[in-house]
Amino acid sequence: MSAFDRRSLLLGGATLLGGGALLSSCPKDPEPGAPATKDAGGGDDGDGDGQMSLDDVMPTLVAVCERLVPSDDLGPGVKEAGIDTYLRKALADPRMKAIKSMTQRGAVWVARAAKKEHGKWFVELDDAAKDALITRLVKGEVKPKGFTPLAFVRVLLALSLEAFLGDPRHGGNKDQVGWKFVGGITWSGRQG
Amino acid sequence: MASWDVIVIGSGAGGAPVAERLAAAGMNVLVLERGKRFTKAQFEDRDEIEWCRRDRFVPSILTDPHTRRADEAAKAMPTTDGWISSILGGGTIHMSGFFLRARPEDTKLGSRLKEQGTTGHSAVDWAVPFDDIARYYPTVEDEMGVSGIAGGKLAPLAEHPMANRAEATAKKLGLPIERTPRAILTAARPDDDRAACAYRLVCASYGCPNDARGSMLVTYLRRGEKSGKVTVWTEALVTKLEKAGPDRVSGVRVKRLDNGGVEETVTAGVVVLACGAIESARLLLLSGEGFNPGGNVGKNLWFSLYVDVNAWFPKATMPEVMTGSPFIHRSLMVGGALKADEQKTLGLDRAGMLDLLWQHDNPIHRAERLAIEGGGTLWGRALKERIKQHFTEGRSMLCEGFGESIPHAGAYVDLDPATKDQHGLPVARLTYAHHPRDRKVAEHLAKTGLAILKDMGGQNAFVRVGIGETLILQGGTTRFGDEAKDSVTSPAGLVHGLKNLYVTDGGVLPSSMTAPGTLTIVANALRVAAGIVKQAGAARP
Ligand SMILES: Cc1cc2nc3c(=O)[nH]c(=O)nc-3n(C[C@H](O)[C@H](O)[C@H](O)COP(=O)(O)OP(=O)(O)OC[C@H]3O[C@@H](n4cnc5c(N)ncnc54)[C@H](O)[C@@H]3O)c2cc1C
Ligand code: SF4
Repeated sequence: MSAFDRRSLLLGGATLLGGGALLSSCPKDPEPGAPATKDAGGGDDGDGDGQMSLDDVMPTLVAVCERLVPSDDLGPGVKEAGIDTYLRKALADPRMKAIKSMTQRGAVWVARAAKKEHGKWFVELDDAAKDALITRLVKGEVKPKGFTPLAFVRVLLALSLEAFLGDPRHGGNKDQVGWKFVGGITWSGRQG
Repeated sequence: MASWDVIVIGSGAGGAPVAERLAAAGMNVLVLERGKRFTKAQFEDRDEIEWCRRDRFVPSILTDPHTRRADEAAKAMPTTDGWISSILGGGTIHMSGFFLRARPEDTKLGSRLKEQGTTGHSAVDWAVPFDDIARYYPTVEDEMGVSGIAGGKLAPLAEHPMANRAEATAKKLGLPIERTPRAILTAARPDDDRAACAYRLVCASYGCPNDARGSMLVTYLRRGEKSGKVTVWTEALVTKLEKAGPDRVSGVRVKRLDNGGVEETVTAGVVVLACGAIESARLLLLSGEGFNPGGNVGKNLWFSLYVDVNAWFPKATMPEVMTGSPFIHRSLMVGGALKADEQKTLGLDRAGMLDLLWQHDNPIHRAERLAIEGGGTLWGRALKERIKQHFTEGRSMLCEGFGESIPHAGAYVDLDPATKDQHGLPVARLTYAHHPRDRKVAEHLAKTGLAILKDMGGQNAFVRVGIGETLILQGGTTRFGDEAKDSVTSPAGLVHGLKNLYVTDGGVLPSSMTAPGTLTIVANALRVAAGIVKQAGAARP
């Protein structure tokens, strides 16, 4: 954000994200080839060949996010920050409708790809196998229908960073773990 | 059906000053603003997710998009581009408040381009003499509280020690440098109920909880409402201008969003349009026959040219970077002047200005940028390592460039034939491409920015935005001129052919200037207001 830029990188900063589906991408124009979504409340965001609710895909989304900002020798990651609670709240926001259906499609694909390849669901894979699959999504080595793999990863990355470094009122950054990780500054109001 | 002396549509930089002045002259003024009113207490908040990442300041892309395309052959896609702000006070609520004066040469773009043999543009010289606007600069600076002006009343804001380094670099490179004037108070103004700046960690892109930043809400609107002569309706969306006869408007249709969307007609003797360059053009086009006399509404759109260069300043070699004032406050090459040899090699008479500032401290924003900078996607342990290092081992500085962007036939706003907003009204469609001259200006700004940051000791300097547009610095769409054939409004601010419809937002300024132009929008609004008062006085028996 420059002094004159009110937007976040993922809120339409097309140049910064190569024009992928961003946090505010428009539902009228889903990813090429995506099935039309009818949802208002999230019940019917299926990927065309399976009705998956947010509850169904949540473990997979959480597992991907936990690899994007992992808990490791450097310190806590989104797991400690409360990614599960954060994602549930964030994706329930009507403004996130398009994002929600895209992440649902992506999660279904990821879960199935793992099953096909390893005979296990994504959440059951070891870290190395999870990372290998994410790497293929990032590199565009896979061609899923209904969503752009890089955009899917970047949107989850954005949501993970929100869960890690956002105001705790949204359900993430539990006990300010993220803010502590970057030096212990409190960014919410009233410090001025 | 209520009737007023004056209706002002839009409460931002172009609208609020007019409301205050006309009220001071005794008129009953109604301000209609589509956004909500926020309080000082709400501006305490620094919730990055809500304010900066979820469209709090602008209407949602899901319900009120604009659309945008690069040229006529491309499909226009939904975007939030082109919205400045939709809140009482407009874009001034969360602006940075870099308040620079325009230069006389900025207003002579037409003849300057002619002299240089530049073609393929629609630039003109301003029909309003520069001095007629510039004489209001001191008034605006005083009334809004601009600090850091050489010889000005308000002391400058405290500055980061890197300002000294910037001075030394500028001297070495032979570049003019000056303190950046800011619409931020350094001393309290109890009469206006405004406190001085408290130097918060993050400032721009949020409201100011001290009322130190000179938004319209704490300056002209506050004074206007205090006088009892300005009434403000928020969540009041104007959907149409209505005519009383061939050369007069009677009032407006307004949708009360705070009252279930009930529509009513409000009438007034004078209507002032100030919705921002894009939305004012849209409203004129939505209003039908008689509101686009010369067919020029929406044409000649400009966005200030934008360039962004970054570098890393490690604390290991420069411990001072981690503390001190959040503001560096230095601008270089203000006025856009070029050295004679540069003019020759570049084939340009002027370029633009550069300013120095620390990267915005919003933490998600900073981390996100680290994840995708350079076009890749960093994640996992490598990303965490980078985040930790960048937050604790130094700081990123930006050198931002602002330049003239040239109006031409490929840059305009019209109504999108295919996309409607939540109220069923066609949205504004932006068609925007840069004129070839813009590239030369941008290249020069980027090259100079790199040299500055490197000389200051910055590491890994890189051009993040080689050429872009500052979408919130917009104009041209209702530009003033002497004749309807190449303009929309008269020098007095009236829509050609109409006797009581004025436009006072950024849209009336015919070219983008070499610096951010909000100070000029306010000055011009005061100029037009003085004309309206004079006119009313003359009409009185
Ligand atoms: C983050 C940020 C930083 C900025 N920093 C600077 C800076 O440092 N220096 C600088 O010079 N400029 C800066 N600006 C730009 C500045 O805010 C604009 O130039 C200025 O506000 C434009 O004034 P305006 O009157 O044309 O439009 P606005 O201020 O946007 O006002 C238009 C108003 O009209 C309302 N409106 C629109 N349509 C309707 C309708 N149909 N009915 C009722 N109301 C309507 C809108 O909601 C809005 O409140 C910044 C802007 C932003 C967003
Ligand atoms: S830094 Fe100063 S001007 Fe900015 S929000 Fe804080 S008090 Fe207001």
